Amino acid sequence: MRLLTRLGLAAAFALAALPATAQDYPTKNITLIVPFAAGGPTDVISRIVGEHMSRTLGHQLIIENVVGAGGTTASTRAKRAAPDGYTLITGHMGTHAASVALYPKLQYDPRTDFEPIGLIAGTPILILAKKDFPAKDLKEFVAYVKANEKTLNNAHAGVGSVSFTTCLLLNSIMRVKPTTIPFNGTGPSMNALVGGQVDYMCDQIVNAVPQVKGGTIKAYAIATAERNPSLPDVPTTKEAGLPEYEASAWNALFAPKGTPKAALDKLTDALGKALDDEGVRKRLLDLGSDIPGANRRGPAALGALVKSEVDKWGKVIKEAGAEVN
Amino acid sequence: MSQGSGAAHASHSVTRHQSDVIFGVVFIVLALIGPVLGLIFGKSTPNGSLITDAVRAGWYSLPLAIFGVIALSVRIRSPQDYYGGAILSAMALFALWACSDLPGMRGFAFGPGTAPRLFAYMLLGFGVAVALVGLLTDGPPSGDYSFSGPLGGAVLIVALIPITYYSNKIGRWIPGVPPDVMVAALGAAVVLALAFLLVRFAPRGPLFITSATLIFAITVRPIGLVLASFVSLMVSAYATDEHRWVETIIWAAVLTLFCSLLFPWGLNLPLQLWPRL
Amino acid sequence: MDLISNLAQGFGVVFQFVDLKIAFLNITIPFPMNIFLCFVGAMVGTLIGVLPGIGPLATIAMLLPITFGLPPVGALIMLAGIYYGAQYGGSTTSILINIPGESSSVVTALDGHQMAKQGRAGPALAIAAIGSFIAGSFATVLVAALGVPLTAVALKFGPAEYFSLMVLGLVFAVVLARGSVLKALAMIMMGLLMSTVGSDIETGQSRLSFDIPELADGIGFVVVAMGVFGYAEIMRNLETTASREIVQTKITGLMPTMKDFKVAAPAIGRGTILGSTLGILPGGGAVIAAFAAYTFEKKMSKYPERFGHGVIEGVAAPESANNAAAQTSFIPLLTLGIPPNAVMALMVGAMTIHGIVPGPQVMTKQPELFWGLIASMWVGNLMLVVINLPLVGLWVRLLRVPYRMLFPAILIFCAIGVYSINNAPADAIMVAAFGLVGYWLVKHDFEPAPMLLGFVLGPLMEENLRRAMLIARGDPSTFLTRPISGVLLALAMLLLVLAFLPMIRKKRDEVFVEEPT
Repeated sequence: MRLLTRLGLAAAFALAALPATAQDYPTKNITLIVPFAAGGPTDVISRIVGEHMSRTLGHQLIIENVVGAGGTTASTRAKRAAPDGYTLITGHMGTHAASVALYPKLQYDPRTDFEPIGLIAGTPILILAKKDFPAKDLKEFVAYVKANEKTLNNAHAGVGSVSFTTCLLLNSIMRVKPTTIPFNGTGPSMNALVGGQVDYMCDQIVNAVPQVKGGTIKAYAIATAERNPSLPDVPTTKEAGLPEYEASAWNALFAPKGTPKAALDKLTDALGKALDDEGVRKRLLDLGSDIPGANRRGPAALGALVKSEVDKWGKVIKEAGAEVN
Repeated sequence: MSQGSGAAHASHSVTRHQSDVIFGVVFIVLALIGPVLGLIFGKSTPNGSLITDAVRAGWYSLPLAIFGVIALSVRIRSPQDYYGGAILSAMALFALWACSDLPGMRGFAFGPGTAPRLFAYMLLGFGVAVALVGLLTDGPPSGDYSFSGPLGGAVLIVALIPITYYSNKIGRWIPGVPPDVMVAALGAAVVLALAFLLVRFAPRGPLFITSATLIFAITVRPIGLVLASFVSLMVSAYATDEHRWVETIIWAAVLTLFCSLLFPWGLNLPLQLWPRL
Repeated sequence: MDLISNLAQGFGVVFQFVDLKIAFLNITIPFPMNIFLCFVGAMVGTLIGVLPGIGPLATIAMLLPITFGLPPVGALIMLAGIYYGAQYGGSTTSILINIPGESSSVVTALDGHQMAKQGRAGPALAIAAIGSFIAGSFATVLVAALGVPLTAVALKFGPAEYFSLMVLGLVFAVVLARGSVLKALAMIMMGLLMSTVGSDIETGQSRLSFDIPELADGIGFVVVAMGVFGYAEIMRNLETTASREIVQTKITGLMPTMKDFKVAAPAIGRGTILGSTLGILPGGGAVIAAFAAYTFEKKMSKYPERFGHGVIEGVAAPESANNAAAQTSFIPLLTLGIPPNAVMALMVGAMTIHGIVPGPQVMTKQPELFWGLIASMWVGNLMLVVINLPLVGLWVRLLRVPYRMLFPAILIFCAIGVYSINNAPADAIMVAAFGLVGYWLVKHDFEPAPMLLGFVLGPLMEENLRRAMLIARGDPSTFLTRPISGVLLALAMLLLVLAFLPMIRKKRDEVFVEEPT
């Protein structure tokens, strides 16, 4: 009897789902999946921009943190979500570029399984070292690391994290293979650096600014074309003598493949408006992030960026033999 | 031969000797079909053949036969400890098999497999020690339903595996019904049917609490929080044979209402209340 | 003295009145905004602490958008209130229904729930509240006065020191057990083994996860605790008649007696000190603090065999310890800007969103934030006592509900709670599975507490062992040559030896076999 009731109930819900008419998008709240823990740089950036976009779109952008496996769990979930425009994901250089080479069993392809909406903000990478690291500037740093690679320790926030992949690049440019010490996230790794238990690290500017300003760690260079206003004394890698090292952890908005174009257009527009808003810009700039100009915004630019980044990091990871199985 | 202590439901108790025999046979069977299970659940290694994989799995499962043989031949003085230790050892062996393909130490760096293997070996050691203590010192028989309880619940969980595996095909059985609702309905039906079947051999508590939770888990996404909660609350009432229908329905409705207000609204959690239409 | 004037400034911030315009009445009244926010935070925190499953992390994340409209200090005060409110609420469920809300409340469940079963839920809850308040006050002063020097000490803890601390913690877990040491050791091993499921920290390789995606990041603490403690308890209780209530004996008063206070007072003191010191250590400090306090009490007690059967020190000590640790865990956040755990990381995010960049300079550049937060910690603790003591009567009355109506409620709260953490049905399935595991454990007279402790400490121990070995290039003597690490290991050895001394073993054997149910 129970079974019949149950089947009856199931049959009662046999209404095919009507696709949302794109003209009225959005008609309800939108879920924005963030592949990392709340409070981290990706999460903070998503919330700042998301809040403004909620106002433009008229419906709340609800953040859902789905942590795990370097952000790939969230991305897989986003790929499988219904492409109706009500599920989005903030992907970044790790989840939507480096992951392809890092995880051979990856269940998605960032180039084909997602619709790019637009770049949100980038967080430049800094070369950081413990307070008493014996080098005055980047040139001495490189020389010292090359000479002492056997005894130095390079910290990172876990396999698949930004600090992991970007230091892979740095180490391969310097042609060294130091001992890498994994930690569970940026907090512990920064802690170890401040405490002097590890020697150097590559990390996003967001986490590093307060420490550098407070004098607890050293920053040798920033891996972008221009100096960053929140740390004006830190030279760029170009100025300091290592121009090949260019790395930025870009964050971008994606939707699952097949999301209707009308919804995508509205989202691109809302994102653009958020990035132009004074309040949002101030908060993002205070964090040291770098807001894309008009020519880097939008789906086309993002799509191209993803392709080039997948190739770039793919090469680095394969050379270092760092695939995860 | 002392009677296994009876509880309120005396019809479920087995004599001590009977439980020893059952245990012995089960362990010997497990030891022998270990390789088969290993083949089903293991992942194929790139450079191993079917035979070597089976042998590998057998390596780990054969020792279980020792426990089984002892149970059949010797009088066990403290079944509680003996069975406990034996099952812990089985767990340890299972874990050892599961991490047998993980790389170990490379130089001074711990490999991924080092710690699990270390812990598994130690668990094996302690498990054997506990079983030995059970063999040599007197102790109480294992509590009622110490096997049937967990086993019954485990059957329910295992029954869901093929359903989730073939969920794509099942979803398309009845056209017009959204696939995830179909899978959820079938899953819930199977779990319930099994629970009612097994209640003759296993205690109601674990059976129906497990059923209620499983049903909640498989239905909460397709049909929403409200319906899933109500259904699972109704099922959980069966966990005790003292339920009264009217009281159960009213209480389930009250609780469902309370939860539907508290979690999505009071705590601002993004939970879906009703079926996706 | 500087400290006093700084604290005064802090209290000034907390008690400041904001002119609130009430639109439809067209008047402006001075409104104690920050106190109000503190109260709201503590209330919400307690509520989610009491609900099994959802923790402060999820709640703070959910409520973060609401704080956008608030001034930064106020927002932080509210979020901080949620944090330690949840800590306290978790203890409530530990005592009432044997479900530890947080890893640091596991130990409270041991004696707390036993006390509840003996009709003494009231005194247990009350002493937890009072002990937490005393500990919190002391810890707040510590944060205010010694924040910076304590940070320097915390920074000296490298991977080797953490590993030795974890070893010490595991030895605590053995001493904690009330039955057979052999079985406790087996349980610890089981917990350690379970903790290795997931992805390897160094290579990212998945271990023991059988390609099941939900296991790729390991088994969650809430899932195991809820299953092994809570669900198993329900399954066991249902074997006796379900028309009864949880409490079998007569309820003897809601408040602790004078005798209780006398016994608990030194326990509170010791717990406070242990908690304050261990809480500074990023990650894992609070958990170890709680069961270090419990073990310490047990060793110091004249009747150690009664621990685990409902002694009030067994509640007072860990509760004070974990609240003190909750307060001092703000230290690395406030002085260095480095979050010691996931909840603090969220606070950092909240600060960042509000335009405050936490770091070593917050203390000097934004003193009103720093001191205001510290002052609010004390006020928050006071509020917790004020909110929770009256609630004790309510909770105790809840225990009188016939069990057949109570357990479905517990079940559904657990199921929804655990599902809502990750919106993952698989989590609920795992809770059911662990419920069966817990049921089996109890039937064979194994204790779940050492297993849970092994499970919590396992990853910390393994990661730090590996890191220390990497840094020391494979030289195991580093654990003994580094001073702090050496001391901790020596302590662990000593404690282990003491645990095996024949004198103590004889006492253990006296109470060895408990009646299996």
